[in-house]
Amino acid sequence: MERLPDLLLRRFLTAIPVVLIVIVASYVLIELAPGDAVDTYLAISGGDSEFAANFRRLWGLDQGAATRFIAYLGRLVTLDLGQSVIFSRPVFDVILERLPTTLLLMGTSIFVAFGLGTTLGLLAGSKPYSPRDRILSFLGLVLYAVPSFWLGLILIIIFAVWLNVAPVGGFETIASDKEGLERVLDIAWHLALPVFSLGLIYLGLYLRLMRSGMIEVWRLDFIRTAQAKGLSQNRIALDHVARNALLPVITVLGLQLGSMLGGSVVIESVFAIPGFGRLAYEAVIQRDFALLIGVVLIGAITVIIINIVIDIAYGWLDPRIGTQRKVKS
Amino acid sequence: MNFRFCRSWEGMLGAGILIVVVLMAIFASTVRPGDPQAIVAAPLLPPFTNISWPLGTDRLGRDILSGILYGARVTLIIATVATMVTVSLGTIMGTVAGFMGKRIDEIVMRFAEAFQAVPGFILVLALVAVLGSSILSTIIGIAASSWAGLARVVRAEILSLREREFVAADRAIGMRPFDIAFREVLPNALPAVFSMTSVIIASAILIEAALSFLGLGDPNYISWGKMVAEGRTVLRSAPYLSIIPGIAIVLVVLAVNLVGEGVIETISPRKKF
Repeated sequence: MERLPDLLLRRFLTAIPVVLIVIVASYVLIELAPGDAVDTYLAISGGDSEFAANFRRLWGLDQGAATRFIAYLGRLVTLDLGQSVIFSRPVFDVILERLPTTLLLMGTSIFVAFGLGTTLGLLAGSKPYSPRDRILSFLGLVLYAVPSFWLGLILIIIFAVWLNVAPVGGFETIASDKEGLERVLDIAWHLALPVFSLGLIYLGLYLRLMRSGMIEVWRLDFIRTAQAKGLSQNRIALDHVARNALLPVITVLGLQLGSMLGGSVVIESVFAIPGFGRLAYEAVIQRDFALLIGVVLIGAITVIIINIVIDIAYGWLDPRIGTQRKVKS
Repeated sequence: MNFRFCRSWEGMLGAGILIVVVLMAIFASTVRPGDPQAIVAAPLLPPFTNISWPLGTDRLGRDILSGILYGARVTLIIATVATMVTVSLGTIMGTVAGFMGKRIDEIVMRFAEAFQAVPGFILVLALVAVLGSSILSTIIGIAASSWAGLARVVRAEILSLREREFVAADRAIGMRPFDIAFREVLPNALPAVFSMTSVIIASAILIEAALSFLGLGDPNYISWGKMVAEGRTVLRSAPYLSIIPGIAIVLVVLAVNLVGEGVIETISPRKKF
């Protein structure tokens, strides 16, 4: 089996060109946009053209595009993503402050989606084309068709407006001075609705993937062997079929994390959660392009890191992958 | 349409809903002539109470039925064009990567990975921020965020197909690589493309809805996502303003997925257990 450090090194090396492409592409894209950071600043604070010219000189915006790009790359090496105009703070600090909230939201949503989704998918896939399977599959398809922002609003209408048992939004009660467990419970209470808005939609996806994966496995020869041995149908479904169907679902889990990070934009806007997604939205609305590049870049790097972690976990779950690689190299 | 397709009730249900939505889009201006964003009646009339405004009116007194009908147009146009762009781009890039040698494959795949690394909706947001809010930039955003996944699938198909005998035969009779790739190999990879198309259409509709919900859609056209957002301010007193257009979105996306399922089941019939 490939040793962990080798795997890490190989993945790290292939990630470098990808990150470079993201850096260059997002920089070029923002260059093409009308207006610059000074325009954004003036839109907030006001000022005349001489003031603007001074600012451009100060921020190096009077230089040529190539010079500025090289300077930008130089600053990136030291983790300096520039200055956010709307927050008047370094972009890196603003993003780092917002990221944990979103990772918590994503992590719990995935937990809900993956846990419930694969369980329901297992129930559906253990008896393909039975009435139980039909109902569960249809439920999965419906959930997969629901826009997350709309589900969020529906949950707000039901639980916050009618039943009045959940808050309408926010990450925690503001200025409540809660500490320790009390604060954790407060955050959990606030995150329940957003987690389910995001989680229920992906639940549909995992349900369907698990089910179709199981249907594929039912057709394989070793299942016939298990049946010939006289094992009960439930036993085969759980021990043989579900286990083998689970691995492809984990692959998709990795692929879906990026889309979930994108989905946090909408959910965090609906529930007024000050996270990474909402930051992306604020950067776009207020045309803070330095912040926007930072969000795109850190978003991409986060996804790449999560994928590497999933890769390692995958190799650990399925020993066949490690040996295959050894044979090839 | 294949006869077998008619036997899957899911597919038929989906096709039925889609036909209704297409009819809504076609006859929007016949049923409800005039600007759907015009103020026509008293504000906040609840649905199912007044025969002239069957779905009620919004905060400003605009007809909700008009919004739903004209919204169907925007949804269908954006979904169709964006899917065509995505599928063409993904298929071409996948074929080029799979057939044109290792170096080009390497380059195209690194680009695909870069596009997939940026969280999908954030990429759409960034593009719309730069290009401005319009139907065109919504379409560009959707295509940019979806082509890479399809390109990977097509590439994988092409890689397995290029080792087949008919490709060797094509080479032997002296066909140009470009012709082999696009006229011989690609058609054999198309079933894989078709099976992904419904997913691409569905996600195109959802991305458009989310964009217009955030107020970043084309300001000149009514859209279901925008209607949901406008209902938010009166969520307590008039929840139907957000609920009705949301149901429209769910039904269309569900219909697309159902048709996709039906088609896949038609192509590869189920095995009895």
